[in-house]
Amino acid sequence: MALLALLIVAAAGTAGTFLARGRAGGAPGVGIAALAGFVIAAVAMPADATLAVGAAQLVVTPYARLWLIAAAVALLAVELVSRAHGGQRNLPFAALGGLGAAAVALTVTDGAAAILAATAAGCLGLVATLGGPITMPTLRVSADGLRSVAVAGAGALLAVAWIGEDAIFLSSGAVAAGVLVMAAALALRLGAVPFHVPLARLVGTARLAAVPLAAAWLPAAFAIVGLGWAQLGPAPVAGDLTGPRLIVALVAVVTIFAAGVVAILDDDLARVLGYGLVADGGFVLLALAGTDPAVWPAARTWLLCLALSRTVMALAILGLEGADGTRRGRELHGWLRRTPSLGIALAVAVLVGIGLPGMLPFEARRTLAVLAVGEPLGALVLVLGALPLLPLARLAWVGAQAPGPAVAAGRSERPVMLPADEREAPTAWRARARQIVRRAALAWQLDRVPIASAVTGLLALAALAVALGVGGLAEAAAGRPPGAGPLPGL
Amino acid sequence: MAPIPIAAAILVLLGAAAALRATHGRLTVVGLGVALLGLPLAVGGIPDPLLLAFRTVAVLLALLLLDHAVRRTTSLIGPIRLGGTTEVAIELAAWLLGLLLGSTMPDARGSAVALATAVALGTAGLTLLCFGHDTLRLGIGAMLALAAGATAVPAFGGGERAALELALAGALLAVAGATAWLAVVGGRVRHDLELADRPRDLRDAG
Repeated sequence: MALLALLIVAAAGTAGTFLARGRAGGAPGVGIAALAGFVIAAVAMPADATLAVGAAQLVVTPYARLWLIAAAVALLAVELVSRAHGGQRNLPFAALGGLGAAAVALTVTDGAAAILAATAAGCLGLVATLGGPITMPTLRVSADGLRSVAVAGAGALLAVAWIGEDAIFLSSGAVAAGVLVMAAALALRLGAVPFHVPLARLVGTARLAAVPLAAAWLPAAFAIVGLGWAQLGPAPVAGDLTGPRLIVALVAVVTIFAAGVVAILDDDLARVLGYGLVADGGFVLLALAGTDPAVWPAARTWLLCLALSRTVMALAILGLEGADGTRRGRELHGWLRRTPSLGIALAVAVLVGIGLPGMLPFEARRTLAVLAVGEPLGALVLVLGALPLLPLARLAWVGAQAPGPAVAAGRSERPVMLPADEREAPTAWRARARQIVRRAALAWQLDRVPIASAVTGLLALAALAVALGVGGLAEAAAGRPPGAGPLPGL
Repeated sequence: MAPIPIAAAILVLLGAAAALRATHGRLTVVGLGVALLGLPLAVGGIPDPLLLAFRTVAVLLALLLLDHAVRRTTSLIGPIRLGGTTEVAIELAAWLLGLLLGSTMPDARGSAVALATAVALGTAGLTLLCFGHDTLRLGIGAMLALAAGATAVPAFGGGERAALELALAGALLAVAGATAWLAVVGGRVRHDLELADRPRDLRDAG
């Protein structure tokens, strides 16, 4: 019943936010309340909840629950920060629809149905990119996104159909073909080379608030489902598949290297974020190149960390753009002095996205790299994967200097002092309540930048906690993968 | 070969051909509807009536969404990149190839007609996704490709049919919703369903 409640909250929230879109002032409240409701329903859901819809079965796992909580909290933070910086009209609708479909994808016990649900989630997520002023380039990147989601979904379904439920009855050539088709589908959905152009264009063109949902969380849900199938289907015979594993490893390494180099050369922070996402997709692909069963929990750990890290980074860039009116690194002289908490958030995003030895993301990336390409090359891949650090280091250097024209004309994180008459506390409780509401509304009007920075900082702390193992990510990732069939006796 | 799957497969092919060839938006949507509604019968074995009803309602809702989007913008769309007839020929060739493969595969696990229909529908979907340069054909291609993928799973003898049918219904609705949204929003920008600045016709390339 808990899972049913979660799905009802998602459906009601999607419908509510859709209906409230046209009402001035109504939509933000509905969207935030619905996302908060989803967070509460996900937290309240037991880690072993089940739901049967006719013959179809949905089984919650600790990983699925943790993923849904993290995604909902992150998207709630995105909605709050986006509202503070002008808003993204379709985000709550797309987020709730996408989360509902992702919840089905991560819990349904049939692999093909899980892929269809993840594809549906991807389509709903694309609606977020259509908010705000629409131009032909925006429309084209959304259309390209729909094309990528559909082709990846159809390709993954083809791989599932081809290999079936037990790969040990197939020839190694047939299994290799299925694995390569699934790898291509994952590469397309995650934006790996040579399919990186749609993702890079989407991140560079669409509103930044739509990026975490459309380019991080929902592709990650698709990858979790695809890798779950790979773990259960072809993995038992993967030892014989040297050729396909080499091809996938090569594509992954080229993706990590090329995306890292382009990220160094670019000055637009949104594009740095986009190429960081491309490089992250390369690490996910490495899971299909490894034969050791340890790659699967590592990949699931990494998929949650990458989505959290890129969400925090997107919010920090959104905050910089909102405060200083630009997201070009060379125009942001002195940003660190005026908005230090965004600097801390960016540093945490790096820690969660790359990590230090002993942290979950670092160990996950190391496991994926070493098990895919061996010991000396694995270390090199790890170093290449850290290339996107360089533009961020350059940004920190620029930020520590004296404020330039853009930053000097922008807003700092220091809250505006409220007018004196607003500080006098009335004694009657009704008047006091009215004053609190008035002060909150006034603070929202005057202090949007500090509030957005505070929300970004809180999400960064939560992401750091997850990366340090709080919440049991390592244990959850080692558990039952999605699409693993019905529980005995259910 | 059983007559019902064969007749249904022919209906599906005709529907997909209409979606590929037509230059009237509503006719394209009708073609999609014929293809999707005939598909469960082409797979072989009548599915659970409740599931069939659920899927039919979802398909009709999806068609309604697409039709709404077409009516809100323009009913006319340009020809697909290779002209339409070429794409229909490719689709028919894919069906024959699928039938040949399904009949001759040593470890065949499902019906040859179902496999051929899935291959033809997937080819039509991918053709629309690759060569379509308007929002409507893009969405229709996505729906056909997903329906083909979902047909291939039981055609190869795998998957849990109930979960698959429910998920396919949801996915078709989601794609139709996203397509309608794209079409309506795009209509505000340039008053038609076109995505390219200047539609290219490869027949004139020489």
